[in-house]
Amino acid sequence: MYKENTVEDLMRSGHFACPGCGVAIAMRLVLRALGRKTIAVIIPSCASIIAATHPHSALEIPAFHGTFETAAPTAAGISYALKIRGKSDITVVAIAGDGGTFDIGLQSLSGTADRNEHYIYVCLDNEAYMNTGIQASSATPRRAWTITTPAGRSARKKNIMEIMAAHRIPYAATASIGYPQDLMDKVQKAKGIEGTKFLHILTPCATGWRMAENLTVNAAILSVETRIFPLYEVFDGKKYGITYEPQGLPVEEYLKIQGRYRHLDAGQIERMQTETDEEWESLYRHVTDCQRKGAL
Amino acid sequence: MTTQENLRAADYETIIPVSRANTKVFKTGQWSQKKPTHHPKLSPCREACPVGNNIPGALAHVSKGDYNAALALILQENPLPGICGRVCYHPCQTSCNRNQFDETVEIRSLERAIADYGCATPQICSSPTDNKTTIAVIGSGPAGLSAAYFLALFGHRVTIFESRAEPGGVLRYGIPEYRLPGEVLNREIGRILALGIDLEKGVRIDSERLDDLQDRFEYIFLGTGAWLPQKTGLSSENRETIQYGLDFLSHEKKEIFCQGKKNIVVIGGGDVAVDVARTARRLCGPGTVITMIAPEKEGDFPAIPEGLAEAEDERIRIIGEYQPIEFIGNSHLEKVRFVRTKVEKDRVTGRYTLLPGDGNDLLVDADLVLIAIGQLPDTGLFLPEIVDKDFSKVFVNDLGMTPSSRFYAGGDLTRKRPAVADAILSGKRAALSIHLKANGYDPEIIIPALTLGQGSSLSISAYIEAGLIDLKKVVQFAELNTLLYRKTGAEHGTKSPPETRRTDFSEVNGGLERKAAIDEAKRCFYCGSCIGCDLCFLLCPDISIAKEGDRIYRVDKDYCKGCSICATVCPRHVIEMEESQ
Ligand SMILES: Cc1cc2nc3c(=O)[nH]c(=O)nc-3n(C[C@H](O)[C@H](O)[C@H](O)COP(=O)(O)OP(=O)(O)OC[C@H]3O[C@@H](n4cnc5c(N)ncnc54)[C@H](O)[C@@H]3O)c2cc1C
Ligand SMILES: Cc1ncc(C[n+]2csc(CCOP(=O)(O)OP(=O)(O)O)c2C)c(N)n1
Ligand code: SF4
Ligand code: SF4
Ligand code: SF4
Ligand SMILES: [Mg+2]
Repeated sequence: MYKENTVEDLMRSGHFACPGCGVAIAMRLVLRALGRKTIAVIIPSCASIIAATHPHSALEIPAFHGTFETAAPTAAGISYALKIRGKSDITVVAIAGDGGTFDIGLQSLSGTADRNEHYIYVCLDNEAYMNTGIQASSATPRRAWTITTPAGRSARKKNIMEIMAAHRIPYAATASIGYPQDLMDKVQKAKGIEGTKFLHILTPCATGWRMAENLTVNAAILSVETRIFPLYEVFDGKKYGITYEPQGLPVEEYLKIQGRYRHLDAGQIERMQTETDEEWESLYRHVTDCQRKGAL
Repeated sequence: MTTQENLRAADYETIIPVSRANTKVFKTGQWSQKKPTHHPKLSPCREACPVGNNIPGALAHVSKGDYNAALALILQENPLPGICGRVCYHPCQTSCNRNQFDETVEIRSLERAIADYGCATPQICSSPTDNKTTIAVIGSGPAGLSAAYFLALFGHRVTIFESRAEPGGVLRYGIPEYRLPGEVLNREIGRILALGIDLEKGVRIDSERLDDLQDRFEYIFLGTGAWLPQKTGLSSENRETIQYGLDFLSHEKKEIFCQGKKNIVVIGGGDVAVDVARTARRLCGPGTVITMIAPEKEGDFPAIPEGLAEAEDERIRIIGEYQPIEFIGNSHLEKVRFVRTKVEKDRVTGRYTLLPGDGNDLLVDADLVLIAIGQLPDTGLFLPEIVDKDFSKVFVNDLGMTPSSRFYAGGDLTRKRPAVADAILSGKRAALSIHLKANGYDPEIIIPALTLGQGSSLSISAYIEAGLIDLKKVVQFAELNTLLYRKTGAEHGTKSPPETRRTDFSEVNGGLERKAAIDEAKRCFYCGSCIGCDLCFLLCPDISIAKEGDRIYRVDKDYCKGCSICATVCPRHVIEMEESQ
């Protein structure tokens, strides 16, 4: 799998991400794992600002900055063009935020997944429209503060992984900047699979989560260890597997370091715990179901 | 490129601008003055370890299955790891940060595993240009062996004089085989002597010979230990059925004292008393009642707790808060009378006093009494000015030097804790002082700089690798990022069943198997030591930490925005943020 001597950094210093940015870390790790023979499509989001502020680029690979709602079809189109020109060794990756994925880009993403276009889609989820000033998206968790949900969002976070799994794409996985090795392994795995691959990476944002800038990675670790954001893979929309067994720490450990949850009372924290447990159990059922089927 | 293509490229760029310049022109490092530095620090276990073992460093090697590298590292600080790994009172484990997480790392068992499974030769620490001197070491206990070892590694000529038939001191003639097998002792002493040290066995040094040695050697290290029994002072003490701890243990035919005895009373609560009781158990078999009685509270006995627990498993009765006042019987001893006692420690002098306690006297049947309440050195052969008469010990300063400048001393002969690891430290201290002095350096400056944290321990490797580890900064539990660690119980080695132990002198503790030791070593947090996990390097959002080799990282201050992620995420607290100018 991931071998140190074959990888190099394809992202440069000097970019304009906020200090401690989780998106920058994720982008760096994704590109390390993909290697030089990669074309990126990046749509408006923090990632796009980090990648380039004209005329300067922070990437060592070619990247196309598309429109907000078209990360997926643009990448699929480039992938087709490469195929026509007989260039099979170049990976195409679409990089989008949660707004560009869960909300505005969902339709076009669904289209490419439906056709099982050959490319990798990476959603860098910081759980709000951060680049434009912390507006809620359908990836914002229930009860989280944003400027458009001052009392906390009321709807729950959309389960994008289930949506993608429902398309029966060959590979969908969650990954976290707190587990860089696991993240890079998944990127490399996706690279080797034909068809549409989807990676959902939680990228904590100090600015939008109202959190100290040194804590983004610890927040990512806590999101995993509290089972708020479990690490798992889904093959062909059906075969689920947990890639990292979380410790099951209380969700409060995760919530308490973030200002966006500061208004929560004990009852709300307890409900967050119950909801997290339910989600985990439902995920776990998927895993055991397919283990049982596999055993038959 | 043709003109046409150039035009086409230019045309595109009026519609779709292309970024061709490099963001590295932006020195985003100017956003903050805070910058990280990688600086390995001291672990609390190492600060507490009298021999100054680089515990996290060695355990990192074990975690990868590399016992040889681990042993090489341990041998830099400890000439007797197989022995410490069996009998040390392990203050390292008391200080281990893992206690605040689940339970201590089994450091002592790991030290034993390293010594038993590893293969390495001690590393010479002298350069050919160093001055060489000659030293006579008197006594081949752990203090003398340690002094000789480090002096030899520094390139000096060492001769050890030992009065007994074989070297090792208490390690051979005191601590029994069931805790410290002879082959381990021979292996470790063999490795020391192989450095080219001369050993003269069966040579007792008296005042006359000491004068002679002063003519033949530049320096003399005194490590004669403490072998004279401390007595109770009771008038009824003098009879044959009363023996003293170390005399008994070192007696060639000690079984004769035990033969046919029904009730043995051991007085004392330290390691010697425990060994006396357990040896008696093995010599008289399971039927004899053996009772250990000490003035301390049960649970507060000075002996190493594991040894006490093993003694209880071997059906040795343990009673606290009593001291003897009368040995009763005519020609034969019949009983011992004890009074209720409590122990008070003077906060200033550290001396213990025994005060009367509340409660009735205790009468215990006894046909043999073994007294193990302490040993005193024989200081008769030394110059009077170096002897501390109040304690009947030899004076030494922080450099291990006695008031007479050519004489150094260590171990039980001095007022240090009577323990193997502390004896090793005293030998190391004297060796380093002598080496520094012989080379015109000032030990008064260098020795404090090599002292580990607030403790008393010294590091030789720090002397050689000056500056690699910050010896004054001890990593606290709260400073570690433990999020990625899991709670797991420690691996414990096997013990032979108590029934077989009641007659058998073979080793009780089986130690850790290779695989279990590797698992146990992985539990270590490696406090303050970089293990090259790359987290700081991989997780810097600004790609401002360059990896320049195994565990070598360089921070690029031009681009580091001072977010402190690296410092926060490092599980081992290697990195600290500092204001840069
Ligand atoms: C029974 C027993 C159990 C113990 N258990 C433990 C334990 O579990 N853990 C622990 O840490 N510590 C333990 N200790 C304490 C520890 O063994 C001592 O603190 C340590 O051995 C002291 O080392 P040393 O080199 O000063 O002296 P010693 O080990 O006493 O060695 C002194 C040597 O000098 C020789 N010598 C003496 N006089 C002369 C002379 N005039 N000329 C030549 N040679 C001479 C002696 O023969 C001896 O070989 C125990 C001690 C005893 C007695
Ligand atoms: C069609 C369109 N609508 C709005 C915008 C403005 N816009 C740019 S980035 C952004 C927010 C993106 O949010 P998200 O996708 O979550 O990425 P993030 O900035 O959080 O990384 C918005 C609304 C746009 N570029 N295009
Ligand atoms: S965790 Fe390891 S390095 Fe830290 S104190 Fe314990 S044994 Fe020492
Ligand atoms: S993670 Fe990078 S930017 Fe942040 S303090 Fe460390 S070196 Fe500087
Ligand atoms: S994060 Fe890992 S590589 Fe970096 S200093 Fe700490 S131990 Fe070393
Ligand atoms: Mg977003």
